[in-house]
Amino acid sequence: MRVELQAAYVLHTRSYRDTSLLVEFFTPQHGRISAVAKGVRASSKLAKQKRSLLQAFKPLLISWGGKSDLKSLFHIEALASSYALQGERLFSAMYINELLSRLLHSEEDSEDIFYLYQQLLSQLNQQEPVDIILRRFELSLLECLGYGIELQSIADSGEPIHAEGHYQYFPEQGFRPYHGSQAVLNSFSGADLLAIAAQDFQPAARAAAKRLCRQVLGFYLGSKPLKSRELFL
Amino acid sequence: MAYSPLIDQLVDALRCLPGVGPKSAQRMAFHLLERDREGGFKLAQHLEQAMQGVNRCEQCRTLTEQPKCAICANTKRDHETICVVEAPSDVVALEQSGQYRGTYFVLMGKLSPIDGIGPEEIGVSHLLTRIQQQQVKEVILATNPTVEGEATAYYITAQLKALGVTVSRIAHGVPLGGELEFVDVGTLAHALEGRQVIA
Repeated sequence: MRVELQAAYVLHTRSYRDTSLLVEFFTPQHGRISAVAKGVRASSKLAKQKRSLLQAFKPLLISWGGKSDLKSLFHIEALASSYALQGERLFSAMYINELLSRLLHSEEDSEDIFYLYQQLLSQLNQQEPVDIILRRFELSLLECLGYGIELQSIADSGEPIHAEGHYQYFPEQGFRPYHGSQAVLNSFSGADLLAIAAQDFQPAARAAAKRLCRQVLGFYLGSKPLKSRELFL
Repeated sequence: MAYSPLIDQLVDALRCLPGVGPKSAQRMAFHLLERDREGGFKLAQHLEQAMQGVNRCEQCRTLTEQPKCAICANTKRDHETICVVEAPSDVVALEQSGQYRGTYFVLMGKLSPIDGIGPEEIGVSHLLTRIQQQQVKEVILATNPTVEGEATAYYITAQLKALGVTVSRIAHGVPLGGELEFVDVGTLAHALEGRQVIA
C-alpha cells in the first residue's frame, strides 16, 4: 500500500542504523505512523536537505508505503515554513507531542485531532496565555479520543451541576456531589466546572482546569509520568 | 535452531550493539569464532579495559579514563569560558576548527521528553554548580540547530539567568563556500535574522 502526499507533522525522530532515522509522524487520515527515513543522516547535500525537513512543528507532505507497522518513507516536502516557537511555547508544543505520541492510536483516522493540532501550533505562535491554549487542546483531545468529560451534569443521575455545589471527579465515571468540608485533590467547585465547560478561563477556572486535565490525562497515561513537565520551571 | 550455550550467549551479548539484530549478531559471532580468534580476544580485552576504565570527566562530563579530561586538565586553556555541546563528537569537531581556547561541557544528549531525557539526565545542575564554583564569565551554547537543540539551549539560558554570566549561542547560517540559491529556506531565514552590521 502506498499513500501519496499526505499532510503530516513529525512527532519524534530517533537515529536508526548508520544513516537512517526512525520517524514518528502524525497524519490526518492515518493517525500516528512510524516510518524509516533511509539515508537521511548521510553526508550528501540531498540527505541534509531532507534531514532539515524532518523537524517537529513543520508542516510537511509525505508519501510512504509498506505493509508492516514500520513504513518506508518515500518522499517528503515542506508544505510551509515551520512554526517558530520559542521558550515556554516550544516546551508546551513538545509537551503536546509527548502527549500525542502516548495517546494517539496508530493508523487510525484522526482528522479532527490533526485539525486541533494545527490550530494549537498557530495559537502558540500568538499572544494568548499558554495554559489556556493547552487546556483547550487537552479537553478537545480527550473528547476526540472518546474520553470526553461531562462537565455539566452528574454521573449516573444526569442531574445538572450547580455553580454553588462541590463535586468530586472519578476517572471514567464523571462528577459526583462532594459533601466533605475540606477541598481534596479531585474536588472541584461547580462554578469552575461550568466555567471550564463554557471555555471561560478566569483565574480560578484556569487553576481548576489544570488540576482536572492532569488527573484525567494521568488516568489514561498510566503510571509513567510525562517527562516534558520537568521542563516547566 | 539453538546453538550451544556459550555461542548463544555471545550472539545475545552482541545484540546490545545499536543496529545489530539476531542475524548480524550471529554472523559476527561466527566470524570471530571461525576466522578471527585473535581479534576476538583483543576485542574482549579492550572492551573490558574500556568498560572498567572509562568514566566521565568530573568537570565537563565527556568520556575519559582520567578524573579530568585532557582539555579540562590543561591549565593553558581559558577556564572562564565554557562551550556547551551535545556529544563528545561535537567537542572533537570544535577542536578541529582550532578557534576555541576555552573548556567544554558535554550534555551527553539533548532535552527530548519522548525519549525520557529531561534536565537531570543532561546534567544541567552539574553545569550550574560548575559555573558557580569556577567564576565562569561566558557560556557558549553550541547545541545543534534542531528543535530539541533549541529547546535545550533555551532551558539552559533560563537557568543561567540568575547567575549573571554572559550566555551566547553559536551562529547558524550559510556554509562557507556555499551558494545562497542552494541553501534551504530555514537556514536562510536564520542567516538573515542573525545578520551583523559591518559598516
